[in-house]
Amino acid sequence: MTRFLRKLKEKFRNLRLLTIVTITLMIATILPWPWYLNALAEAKFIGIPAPYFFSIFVVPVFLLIILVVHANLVEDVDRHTLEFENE
Amino acid sequence: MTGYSPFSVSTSLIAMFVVSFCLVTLFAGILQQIGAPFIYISLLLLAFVVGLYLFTGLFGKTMRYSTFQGSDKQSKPIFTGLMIAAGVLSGGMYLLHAGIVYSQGTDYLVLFFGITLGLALCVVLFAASFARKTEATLASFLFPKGSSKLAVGMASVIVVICSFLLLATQISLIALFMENFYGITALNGTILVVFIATISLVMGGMQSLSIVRMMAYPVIGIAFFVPLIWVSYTFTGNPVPQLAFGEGALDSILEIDREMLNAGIATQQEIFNPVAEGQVYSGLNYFTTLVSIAFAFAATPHLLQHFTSLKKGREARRSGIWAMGFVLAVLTAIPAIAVFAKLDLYTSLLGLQLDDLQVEAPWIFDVSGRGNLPLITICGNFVSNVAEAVAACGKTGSYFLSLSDIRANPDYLMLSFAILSNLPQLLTVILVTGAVLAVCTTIDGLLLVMANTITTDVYNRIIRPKSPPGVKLFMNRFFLVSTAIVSVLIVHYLPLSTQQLFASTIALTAASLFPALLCRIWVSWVTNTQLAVCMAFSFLLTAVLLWLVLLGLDAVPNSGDEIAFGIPVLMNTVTDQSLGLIGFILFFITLILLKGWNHFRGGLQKRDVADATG
Repeated sequence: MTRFLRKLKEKFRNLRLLTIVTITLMIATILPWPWYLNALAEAKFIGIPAPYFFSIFVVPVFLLIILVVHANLVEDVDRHTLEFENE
Repeated sequence: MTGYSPFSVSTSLIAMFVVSFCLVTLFAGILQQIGAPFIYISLLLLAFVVGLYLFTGLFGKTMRYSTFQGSDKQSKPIFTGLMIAAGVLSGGMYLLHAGIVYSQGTDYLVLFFGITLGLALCVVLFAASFARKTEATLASFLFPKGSSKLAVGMASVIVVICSFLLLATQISLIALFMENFYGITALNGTILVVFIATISLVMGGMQSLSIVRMMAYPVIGIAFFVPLIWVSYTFTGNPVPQLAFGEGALDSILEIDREMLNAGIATQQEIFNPVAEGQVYSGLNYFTTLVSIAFAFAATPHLLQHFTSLKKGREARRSGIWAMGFVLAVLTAIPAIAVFAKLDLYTSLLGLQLDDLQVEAPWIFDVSGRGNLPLITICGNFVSNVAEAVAACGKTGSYFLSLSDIRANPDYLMLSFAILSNLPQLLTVILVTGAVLAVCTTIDGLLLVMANTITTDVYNRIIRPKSPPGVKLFMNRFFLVSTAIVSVLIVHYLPLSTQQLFASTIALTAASLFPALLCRIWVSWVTNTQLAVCMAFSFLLTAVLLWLVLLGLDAVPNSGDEIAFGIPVLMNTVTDQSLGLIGFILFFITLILLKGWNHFRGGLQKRDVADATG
């Protein structure tokens, strides 16, 4: 995991790019739900209709993972400020 | 005082409060067993909440202006996460969201995703910058030292108005439980809640606020989950409501629905359909409302101020992730409440003869006409006995209740949950105590934001810039009390409903504070003047649109002259919250126009200089 994060970190040296990617991932996780709702309205998992199942279990887990990875990639505020000001 | 921080004993404080809550609940249970009136038990737990505020006021009391305005950066991410979570879990979420799932199905998901996306945006975009900031208020953060007084004043007004509208939303919810459970009128209840919050804040300011929110979250969680876990375990044998409500309850409801449809005693419109397409938010409105809610939550001043209690950006991000976990724990369980409540109604009332109500489901009258909880109507009326039910239905006592005869008011679904589920009366009191704490822990933060903004940005920066710290501290306390009094007076006469107040807060915050913060932190070329002009323009335009949509030209709500705002081709009617996204877009259009104008003017000046020299 640490190695994976280190590699990712090398790819995202630009803080602004990292933030844009993070937000895009978050929005892509959340926004397309009306289509999913229509498509999956009849589907069920452990008796829970798919829209609620995904909202309760899948989307929050995705969001938390994205946030944790983001927080690990942007290590501390000084680096944050430094990189931002250097751009 | 130097070196000592109340946050160094955070774990002990939380443990102490949870244990005290359990002991008080135990005592309340004993009182109930010996036959003490319900009102005494309710008031005992209300006194416990008052005690919490008095304790945190005394524990966090300070005479240092810096600590009063912003806590001392000694907190840890998990505790700041608790503070933010307690601030996010407002009265609206605690009291109304289950009713929204019950009555509007997937509309709830707009709120759910809006709140989670908002918190995530807040963590990614703003948390780190707030942790390293030294400014005490949001207006100071947007317009630091050297900015014009006009810009600072304008930002202060916007922060105060946005916070006040959210405060009004919370206060409007107090009536839901004060009269019903404590026998206190809505106005007196409001005064009581605001008074106890103010007492604590006057003593310790931000320090007390941080402590009270940190301590309150676990008890809000206990009050929310104990009845729910009880019902979940009773119905399904699984104590995790998020997992259990599907196969345990929803399947049974759908089975009953199918039987009723087949027997022809219910129509497709009457049966419970939790995945029905949103009744309010459909099509493009779903996206625009979700995004507006997310933007507003990301820029809510009373949540952002907690990031200042941490030293580093890394800690701020971690605290945001903790907060998200704590909030999601509650939000994900809300659909289960709606489903279990529905199953209760189905299994205990459907197919019952009116004559049998008194024997089989006597509690029905407590949540209809006999008690103070106006939850259920039988044949369109609140009834307090069998005779009234018979009269309401216009039938004989042998009439079988059908689905169309029973209606539930979603506003009271959460508060009646324990009664509906036939749980011990004490659990209803615990549920209501959680609601009181949820409302109080939002009101206190909003009061402090308004008072701090008026003191720091209006008094200290505009009216009397060179006042000594002692005077500043006194004025902060003075403005805190004044804000509390004025807020109660104004809210009492506000004509808007809870939903309209909430929509106004969302729209105005998303239109002005969110884009302003985005520009201040992430767009380095924006000048103070450009930021001020864009903020003022988008705020004013959104405010005018809201006024026309909610109040109309005669300034009276629901009088018939309100404007149904729509965008041709795209949206027939734009929801009130979505106006925030329109304001947000206008903010950036204005910014681009200003940038273009500056560029054009700069080009002209260069040409003049070149002409003059050449």
